[in-house]
Amino acid sequence: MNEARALPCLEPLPDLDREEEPTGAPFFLPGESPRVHNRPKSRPKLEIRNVVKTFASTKGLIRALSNINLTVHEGEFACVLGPSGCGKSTLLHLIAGLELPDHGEIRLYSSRTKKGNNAEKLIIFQEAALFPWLTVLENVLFGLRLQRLGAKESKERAMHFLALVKLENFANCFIHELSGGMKQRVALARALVLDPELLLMDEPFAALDFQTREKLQSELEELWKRTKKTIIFVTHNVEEAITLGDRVILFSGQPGTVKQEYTLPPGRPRQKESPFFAELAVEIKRDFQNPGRELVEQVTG
Amino acid sequence: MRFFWGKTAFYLLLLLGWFLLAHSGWWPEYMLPAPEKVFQTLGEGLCSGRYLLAVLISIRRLLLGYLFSLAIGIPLGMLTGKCRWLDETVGSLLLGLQTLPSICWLPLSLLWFGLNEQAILFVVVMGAVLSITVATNSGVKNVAPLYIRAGKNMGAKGVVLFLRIILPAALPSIVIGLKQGWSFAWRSLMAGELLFINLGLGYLLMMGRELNDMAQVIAVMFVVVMLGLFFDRLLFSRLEKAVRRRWGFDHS
Repeated sequence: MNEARALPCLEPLPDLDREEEPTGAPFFLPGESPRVHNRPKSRPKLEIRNVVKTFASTKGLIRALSNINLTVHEGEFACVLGPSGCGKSTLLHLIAGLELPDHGEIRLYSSRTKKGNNAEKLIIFQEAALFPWLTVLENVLFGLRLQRLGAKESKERAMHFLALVKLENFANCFIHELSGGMKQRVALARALVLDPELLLMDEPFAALDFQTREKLQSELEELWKRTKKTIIFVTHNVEEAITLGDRVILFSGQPGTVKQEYTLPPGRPRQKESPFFAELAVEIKRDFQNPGRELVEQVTG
Repeated sequence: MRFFWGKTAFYLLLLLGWFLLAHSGWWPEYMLPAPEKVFQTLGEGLCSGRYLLAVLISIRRLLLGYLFSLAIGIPLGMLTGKCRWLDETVGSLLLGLQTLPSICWLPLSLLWFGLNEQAILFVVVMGAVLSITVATNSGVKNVAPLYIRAGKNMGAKGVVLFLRIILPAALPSIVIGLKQGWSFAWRSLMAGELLFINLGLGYLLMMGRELNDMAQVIAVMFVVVMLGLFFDRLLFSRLEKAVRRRWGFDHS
């Protein structure tokens, strides 16, 4: 059944604009020959242009996002890394359309022509946000029911995606009977079953213990390879970002801005123990904590 | 079950104390009748059908009033919960009226409706409807924003969002309101029947007083307690428990 409706596997999409520079700053370590990771380029999926968002709070206006420019490509796994309160979640809410930007533009290049599907950009929240009054299966069915699919077809689809996250035996459980990791897997199934254009993940594994997190990371990587979804994954964990992302977009906070981008080599699964990744992690952590790269270079140079 | 024997012993002791006190002769019988006398009266009343008739009349009033309260209270609570200006206006009025004991509506009700069933129904409704409304209102207002965000994210909006997310998410709170509303309706009904005598259990109570028949007074009070327990255990506690279990509040 799984293979019958085989999801397209990871293969390069036709190159549309080969001559253009690869997006994101190419990353190379000091002392290493400059290396641009040539990967099959694909068309942009999401374009964020000059987005500004301000919130009113008791302390007056707070600028959550200041002039964000970002392009995410079809099938890309983009990790947005930043300290808490840097506007990462706000960015996801804006992309999902739950809030509107004060200024700027967010454009999704949908691969579908048909309209009427409201669930194009789905968020996986940190707390899973499953509905406790529904069983696991009913939670996964929730979005399908809104789209008025046939009952039998809906159920088959839902069970297929529950099997994909290895929870087919828990279909009739209530949400409070599941562990934190299982809840996130249900949330993943609930989103994937709707076949979204974009999967937005808002620190989904932050509340999980170390082992569960590592397990879910590799499962997510596997699911991403199989479904070829475009994922924007928000995290404050450097290791998580470089384990999962094709590209790591470092945010700085207050107001949130894109500070630095790192394009990672395509090989997967990542050899996290290799010197390359160890040094990369150190590098990113330094950038993470310091006010700006240029400033550091001035001081040390 | 752990306290079953303890409970049994407690009630037997209570009964024994009552028995001894009643037979000690400290109080005249019209003040403290012996337990066997009360049970005898209770048995006679039940057998003759007098109590049964009163119970049926009271329950009919209660159910009718409660149904009206549900039909008014739940939609009103939802509207005030969802609509800010309605909440500020109508909602504040309802909160204020909630402090008014429902029996205070009886004089008004008697003047409006006269000495008939509607008058007592009105008092019952005024007793139940406010707590149902207020509980529904706060349930709807306190739905976790995360659920609403998740629902909207999957494409739910308007009525669908309301029926599929806000209502079920608010259900635990609504059920508490339903339970409270029932007990208020029950209290209002008894108060109403006592003051405005027209059959029903309250009427039997007052009859007992007028005939100086304390055994009847206590027997009818016993019936009232039993009925209250019956509905609470049979209906509301079960409902509440089921909802709490399903929502996962009893696990942690």
